[in-house]
Amino acid sequence: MRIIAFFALVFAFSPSFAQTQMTPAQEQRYNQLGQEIRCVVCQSEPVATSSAKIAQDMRDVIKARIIAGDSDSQVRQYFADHYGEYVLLRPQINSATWALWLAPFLLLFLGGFVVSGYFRQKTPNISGDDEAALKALDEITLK
Amino acid sequence: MIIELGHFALFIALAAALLQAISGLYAGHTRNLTYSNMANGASDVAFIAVIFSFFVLVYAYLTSDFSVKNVAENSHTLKPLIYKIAGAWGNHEGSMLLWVVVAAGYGSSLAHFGKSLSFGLKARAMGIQGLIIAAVVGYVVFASNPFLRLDTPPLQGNDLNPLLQDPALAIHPPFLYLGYVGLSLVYSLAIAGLMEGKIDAAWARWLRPWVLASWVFLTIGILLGAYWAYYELGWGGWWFWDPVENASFMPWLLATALLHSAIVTEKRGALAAWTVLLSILAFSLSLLGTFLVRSGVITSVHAFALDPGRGIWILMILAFFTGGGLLLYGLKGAKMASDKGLFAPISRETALILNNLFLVVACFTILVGTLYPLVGEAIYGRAISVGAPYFNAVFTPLMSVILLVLPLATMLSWKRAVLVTSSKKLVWVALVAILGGLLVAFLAKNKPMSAVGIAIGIWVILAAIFEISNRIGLGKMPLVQSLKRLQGLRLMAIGMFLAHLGVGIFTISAVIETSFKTETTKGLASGESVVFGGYKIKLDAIEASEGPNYYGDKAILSVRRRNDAFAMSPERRYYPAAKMPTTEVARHTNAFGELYIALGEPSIVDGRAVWTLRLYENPMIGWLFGGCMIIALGGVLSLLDRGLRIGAPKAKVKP
Repeated sequence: MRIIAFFALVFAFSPSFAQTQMTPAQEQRYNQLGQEIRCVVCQSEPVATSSAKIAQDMRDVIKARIIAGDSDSQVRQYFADHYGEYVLLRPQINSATWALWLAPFLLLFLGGFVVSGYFRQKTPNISGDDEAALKALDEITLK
Repeated sequence: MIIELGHFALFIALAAALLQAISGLYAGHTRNLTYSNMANGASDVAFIAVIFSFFVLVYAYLTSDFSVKNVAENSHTLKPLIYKIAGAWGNHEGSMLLWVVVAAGYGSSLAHFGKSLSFGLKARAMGIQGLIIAAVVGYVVFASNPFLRLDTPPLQGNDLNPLLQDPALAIHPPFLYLGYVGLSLVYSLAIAGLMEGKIDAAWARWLRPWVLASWVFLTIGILLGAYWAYYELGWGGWWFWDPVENASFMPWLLATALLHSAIVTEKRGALAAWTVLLSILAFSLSLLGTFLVRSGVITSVHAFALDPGRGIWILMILAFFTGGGLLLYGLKGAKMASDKGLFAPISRETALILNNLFLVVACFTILVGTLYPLVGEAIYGRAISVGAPYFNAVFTPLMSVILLVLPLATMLSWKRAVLVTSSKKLVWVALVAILGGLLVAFLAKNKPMSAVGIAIGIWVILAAIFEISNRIGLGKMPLVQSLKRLQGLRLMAIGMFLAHLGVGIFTISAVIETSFKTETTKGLASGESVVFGGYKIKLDAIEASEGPNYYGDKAILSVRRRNDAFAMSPERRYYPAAKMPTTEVARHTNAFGELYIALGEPSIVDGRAVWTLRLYENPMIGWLFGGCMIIALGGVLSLLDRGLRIGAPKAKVKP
């Protein structure tokens, strides 16, 4: 699929001469957003690194939106509205993606729970005498 | 004829692997020496048979035997020699054959080098390994056979995907598989240990060299892939969080965790059950990776030769070994109660548990992200993409925590430590790191996260240097004596130092590379020039270029910066047989970065040909890859440590 797109649209990569040039700050945002919007005909590539004709068009749209004064999230929303949320490589937080964004926290919480359980189970009962002895040992060895 | 011999050898391998499985497991059960020897012998037969098959396939590629379907689909008479050889594993069927070669190679190595293992453990591990080899050889023979003939052979082949015709990518799969598949032996040892009901320090010591070897190969394999992506794809990036990249990175993260937990099990006799679980999961994830890459369930830029029917086979193999392994773990793991090593909440053990916790969470987060598009489709009926921005957002903080704890872990003592005493030694290191971060924050406005990242990198590097100089008493005694102590250090200690140093170097370079690289795209006609990052780049001419199986255009650029003048010539190639273009970027490297230029397509503007140039300035890129090399080198040194070979307790053979 990608190969076909690559081949068929091999003449796609041409410089676009927009009337307005972007400021360096805008160009940085443009490069950043290009990494976040997915090329719709490619397998798994952002528009920034796709040679497909449509990717060039989408890059031009990003540029136009930035020059028109859109914020980053407005540009993202624009693409989500026109092409569907599929094009957002940074998925929006919504009813279908909350589990995705919550996953690292849940995993960490679960892992932390297991680890703390391990310690509760492992910690030996230290009697008063032992404690005194250990304290003395600390003073000798660790100071 | 010779093709049929290669084909037939696969059946011999299948039979031998089954014999290895049955006799190994039976020997483990009955403690019968004859059957154990039979398993060892069978493993050699299996290995020789698959090696033979493999060479036959390479031979078919070398002689461009297009009556073989696989060769016709993936080779071409004009292809350079090295890519004819590499073409043998640059496709699905061939790469699965390579998988089996490596798996059988590891099995046979265990038979020969695992002499110190206890009898039952070794026999059973040989048996499980035989089972794995048999399953995958069966898959190769019945579902993915590279030796199938064509009734009417074509005169010319379809050629290998030209993107893959590259030296780094020629050796990338063998390294990756030596890593991936090495984990199969780790799995076998874990299952054998569970069956024996004995997971202890000795077991961990037997396990560790295989983990280390797999990990080193995997590290180098991933590095080669990243380096290839960097210079061959022509976009200046080196890591794209593509599903296939993730598939190799997840086992790497678990193998890294395993490497550290096995140390705890070996040295302190603790975390035994956890180490077993990691061993099972690490191999499961490499199988899952194979499944993801080969089935086409997940779209990827790397996906070539997709076939959902094959996916079912691999899924069954995956389900059997993962499910079986976890089931056995569930039945026996909890009862082992071999965790003898007690330790206080503040100790090196705990620090390594934290390391493991975060590595495993990072790994499973990547797994969730990689598989989530399937979930979105199945549960919500929505097409959702999960790309690099997500992975960067979740992975970076998790890694940062690991890197913050790392130096502390190397300073804490085993069993019980006092945090204040241990961390006091690192106060100066921390101060320098914070100062470094503040300096970056001051110099580069609006980049607070980069400053934090660089501070963390400095923290890791300086702490590693501090740790090793502390160990050899640098500054506390005459230099000669320190050097003598350095000579006397265990290779393992030097390996740890290098690996952690490499991590620090990689971290700093990756942060600088990502946040300070600059790029621009510019169209130039002959004779025009562009100023970029202090360089003045002039397009002198466009020349036609030609190779054995391609033709293309080459830009002749003269580049000047201050007193420095040099030529660069990025190229665009077109491979007619594969009908694909490729970019060959031009790079000019200095100590702290490189100028990277890719040539795009021409267009006609006002009657002149205007060529698109993509220009990148990638700071620290050499250090980034170099850091990974140092990490791998650290692993190699640890592997050479004598302790891993002679220190293991000798097995008592009970016939």
